[in-house]
Amino acid sequence: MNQPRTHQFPLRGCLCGAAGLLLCSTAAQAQENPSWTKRFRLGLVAGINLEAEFSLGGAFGVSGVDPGLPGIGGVNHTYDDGYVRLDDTGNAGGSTSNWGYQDSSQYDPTAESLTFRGTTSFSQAGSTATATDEPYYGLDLAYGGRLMQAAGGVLGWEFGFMFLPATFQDREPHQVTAQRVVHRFSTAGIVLPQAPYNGGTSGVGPVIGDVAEELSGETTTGVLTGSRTVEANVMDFRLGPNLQWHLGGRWAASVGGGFALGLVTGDYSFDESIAYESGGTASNSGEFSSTELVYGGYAEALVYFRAEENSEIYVGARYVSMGDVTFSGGGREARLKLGHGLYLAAGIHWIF
Amino acid sequence: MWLLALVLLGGIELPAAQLNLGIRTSPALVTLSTNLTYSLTLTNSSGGLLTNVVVNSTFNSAVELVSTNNPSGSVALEGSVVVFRIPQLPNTSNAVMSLVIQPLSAGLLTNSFQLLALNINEVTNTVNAIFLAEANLGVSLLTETNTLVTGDWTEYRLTVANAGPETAPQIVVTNFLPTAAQFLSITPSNQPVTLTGTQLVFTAGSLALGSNVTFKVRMQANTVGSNLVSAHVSGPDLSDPFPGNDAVTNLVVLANPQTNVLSAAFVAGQSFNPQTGLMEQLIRLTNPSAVAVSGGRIVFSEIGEQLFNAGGTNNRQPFVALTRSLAAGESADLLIEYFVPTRTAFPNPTIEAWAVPAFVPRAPTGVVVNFSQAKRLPTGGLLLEFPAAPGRAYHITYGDRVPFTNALRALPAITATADRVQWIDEGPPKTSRRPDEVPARFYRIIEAD
Repeated sequence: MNQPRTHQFPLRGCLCGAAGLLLCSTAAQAQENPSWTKRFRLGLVAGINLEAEFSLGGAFGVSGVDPGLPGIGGVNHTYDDGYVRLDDTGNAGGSTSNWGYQDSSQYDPTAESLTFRGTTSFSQAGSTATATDEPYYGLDLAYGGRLMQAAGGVLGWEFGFMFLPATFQDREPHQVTAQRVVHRFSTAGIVLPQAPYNGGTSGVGPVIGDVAEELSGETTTGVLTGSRTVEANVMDFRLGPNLQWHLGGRWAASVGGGFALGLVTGDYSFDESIAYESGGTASNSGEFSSTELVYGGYAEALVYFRAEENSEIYVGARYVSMGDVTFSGGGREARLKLGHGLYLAAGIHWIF
Repeated sequence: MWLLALVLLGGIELPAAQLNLGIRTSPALVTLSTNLTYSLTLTNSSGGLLTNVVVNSTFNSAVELVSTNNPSGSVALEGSVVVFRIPQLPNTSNAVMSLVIQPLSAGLLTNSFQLLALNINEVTNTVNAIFLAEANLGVSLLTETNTLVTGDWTEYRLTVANAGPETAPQIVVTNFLPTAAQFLSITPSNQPVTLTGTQLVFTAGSLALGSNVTFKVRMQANTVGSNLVSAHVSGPDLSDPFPGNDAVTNLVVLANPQTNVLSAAFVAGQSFNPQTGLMEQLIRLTNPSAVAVSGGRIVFSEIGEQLFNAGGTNNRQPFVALTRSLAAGESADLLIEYFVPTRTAFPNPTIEAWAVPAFVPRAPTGVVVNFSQAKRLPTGGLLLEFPAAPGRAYHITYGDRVPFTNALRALPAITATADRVQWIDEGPPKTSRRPDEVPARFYRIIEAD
């Protein structure tokens, strides 16, 4: 039994959920009232065929390490394997209690000195790694209207929007070559605390000289481990025609396609550690952001099941092809590939 | 017990003893967290049937009604009155009723029972004392040492404990300082403190069953002789089943220092020790008299920098102590540590030598920390190193035997400034003698509680 209705609140029944719609409608048919001219759908989407290509090549700085200038006192020094900084006395008398070291191998009891190494940069010949964690889940919206009868169905238009958060992480280890400065500090006159030791700023406790003696720098190899991560929010806006057919009974189908505009915003972060073959480690972390507009096209096909007089459950698939989005900075790059995105969608469709 | 005269329907006047209402309450001790049960027994010995007997129960303060029972009739809450109705009470029979309530406030709770039967209207009051809680509170007092010198700043620990059975709220500690003593501070300091003369009153808050709280009170003792420090704990409307441990008294003996017996002199100038980050100076304490003294002190005045290894304070002046006797003609060298931000020498402070009673600080209790390095220094001193949490305080105890039955506490305690602490025993004033002057010395590191 089909009772024509001229207007309905567009979101009627949305709180019932799909199951509720199925239960509470027994008389609905797929054929819609010709006076209904607008449609709206809301659903979830799962995206696949999305990946990020992480590239690493060139020379890179290292965060958190500031070896400071050698030969002068009263400055801070931060190394891979310790620190020599100002204490509360301002390093009165050329010594400081605010120092720390990590390993007993840094100590030379004969020379009564501690040696510190600080990575100033590392280089990597160039590598590429692809990462994905699909499927990615998001939200799908579309609003459209009827234009005319055509090809045995209804020709309409549709404006759609999708929001899809996606994270891509590269954990591939890489062989790197690092440049390290080497500084030495006098520990004359003290029994060195055992390693690891982290002194404080109070000025009390064993003190060491605060003037760094610069030794020959080192070029050493190591393995870069850790992660490089892109956390992106993919938003696409779609506009194009579609054609809908009544398949009989409660069933209907549509196909559509058109122009797609993508807005991608996100952060590239890295949290890495270099383990040197000669011993010791260096840490490196940071992040940068990027926002980019891309464009392309889309094609989609949907199947509808009429659950209530003007409400349908839909499932379908959409293929979206847009340009790549690039996050890059300081020799790092992640290329987010959106050229062959396939999105499976399901939700509720209202006609009013 | 009710003794009533009843008039029966037939107009016969009965002797008063022929209708009795027995009232019994339990338990004997009632707190806000316990239920109070009224057991009522109404006995008819009038020789005839009584009808429409009513017992009303009215409280003088708000209570929470837990349950009622009246197998012989009905019970209803009418306004704030609990009404027991017995339609018929045969001769020689009893009507047994009960009323269970939970008090909502401490103090005296009066339940007025009104008995109504024909022309009878009699009221009796049942009064119960309601306590906030029942808790076995206890207080202990531990002084730093029993022998002091007039003007010494000393700290004692007051520990309040609750052995239950209930949480004790609103605990009040009353602490009597010795006569003429001066209150300096209390830790923790976040509770209101009232000081009246030498009476210190402060709250210990609420203590759950099995818990305790410790306060550290610092005072300056000023009167020669035996000084009593006492404290007691209490709580408003609190029932304590064992009141014997609610008060404690400790004796502190004070003596005047002898300022003209010992002499002190700087042995050398100040020098910087990179091992400690401190300026050091040796001061010799000599006993030129013909008799031994139990202990000695060097008191610093007009000192421009921080005396880092001060063992105490007397009348605002820091001092270091020799914690052993000094024989006639004997000298002891005390290594003084100053924290000087410039790490350079400053003008020597003014010092004074005092002969004092033996100063034996109590051995501390707490968690033992293993040391990670022990090294004999070229000076003859011994360096101990142990892992530490920056900001935490640690005590070093030492003795000449492993069981530490006669262990002494090195002075002062150490507050960690790094994740490893190096402590050096160079003898007085930290310890009684240099480690290379004794046959054996054992150490224990204790994290202060």
